Parts: sequence; structure tokens; C-alpha cells
Amino acid sequence: MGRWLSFFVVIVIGAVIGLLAGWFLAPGQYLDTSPDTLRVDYQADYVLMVAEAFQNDDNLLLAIERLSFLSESKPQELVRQALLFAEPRYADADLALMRTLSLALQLSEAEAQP
Amino acid sequence: MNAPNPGRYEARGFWYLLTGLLIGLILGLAYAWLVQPVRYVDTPPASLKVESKDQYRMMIAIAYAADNDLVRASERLKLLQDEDPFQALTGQAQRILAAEGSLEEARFLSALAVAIEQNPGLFAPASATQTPEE
Repeated sequence: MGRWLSFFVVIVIGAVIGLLAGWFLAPGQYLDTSPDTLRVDYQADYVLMVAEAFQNDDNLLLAIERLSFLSESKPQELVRQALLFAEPRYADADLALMRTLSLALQLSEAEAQP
Repeated sequence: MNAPNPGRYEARGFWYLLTGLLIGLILGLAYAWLVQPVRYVDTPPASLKVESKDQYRMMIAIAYAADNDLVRASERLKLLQDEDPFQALTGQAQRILAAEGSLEEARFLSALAVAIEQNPGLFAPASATQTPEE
């Protein structure tokens, strides 16, 4: 009985060491991440790219599809978050593009509501 | 009848503990890597999976077609850390054509590739733009 108990105790100790090693010492490769993990400045720049494209093609559905690359959040929310980051940092011309996209999304949502 | 061998029991004791520890380690590592892996946050575009990098690269080419700002496009491409950005762009365009994908998207990628090829200095040491930096 004592031998079995010791056996299970060392399994638990090994599992704890394994967990700590797997999470902190060797947490796997820093590769193959998904877009929703991108740092906020990269996400904002991606939104700016979508806004630049929207200015060119005026295709809101395509802009929404492109924004969905970043995450499953609502497109309007993604643009709002990007604007929050961009406002103190980006040039006025870029901010204007992002605001135009934001406005178009808001209007589209308002029109969709009964 | 053989007499008990205390040394042999001691050796068995050591090995079963080591076996238990190894089983535990394997279980712990499997859980940490496969079941509940570390979720990274604040990652750079270079760490994206291949399909996402393709999508990001495509968006750079589409934005370039819209604003015609080659410096900005090259700064963005640098974030992907492609070994050869020209090859990455043309390769992606060729894959799209081979899969009978969007001709327009292939054109965007090719246009940016051509512009980069004509301005090789863009991938020399950095110039100032407002695109994010690592």
C-alpha cells in the first residue's frame, strides 16, 4: 500500500513539474499565432490598411470581410479600438480614412436596424 | 528456496519512483503543451501562421494599390520578415493563379512585387514611417 501511495505521489509531483516546465520554462514555439493575438499597434495598422482599401474600392462588405481577419469582434468595435490607439499617434490623413470607415460601418448598422 | 535479496528491493524501489515521476512529467507536459497550451498575446506579424501571413501580405498589397505609398508598403512587408519579400509576393500571386483565385488579388501582389524589385534600396536599413516597429 505504501509503495502504491509513493508511486502516485511521485506521479503528481512529476505532473506538477511537467506543468510548470510546459507553461513557463519551455512554453512551445512562438510561431503560428492567430491574428487576434497581434499587438494593438499592428492591429491598428491593419485597420488602417482596410480603411485605405475602402477609400479606393468603396466596398463596405469587403471591408467587413477584411476586418474579420483580425477577430470575431464586431467590425465597428475593431475600428473603434484601432482609432483609440491611432488618435494620438497617426497622421490626420490616416485618421480621416479610419473615421470614414468607422462612419460607414455605423451607418450600415443603423440602416440594418428596423 | 532463494533467500530475500534486500539490495534488489532497494533497486526496485528506486525505479518505480523514477517511473512514476516520468509518467507524471509526461502527463504534465502533455497537458501544458497540448490540452492547455500557453496563449501568446501582443505578437508581431512575423509570428503569424502561414495562411494569416498570406492574408496580411495581401492586405499590404491592396493598401499599396490604394495609396501608392511604396515606402509604407515596404515597412509593412518588413514586419512579416520574409526572407525574400519579392519571392514571397510573386509566390503568393502564383499560388492564387494556380488555384484559379482572384485575378485582381494576384495583380495587387504582382504590382507590389514589381515596385519592390525596381526599388531594391527599400529593404536596406530603415526609413521613418509611422508603421509599427518591433
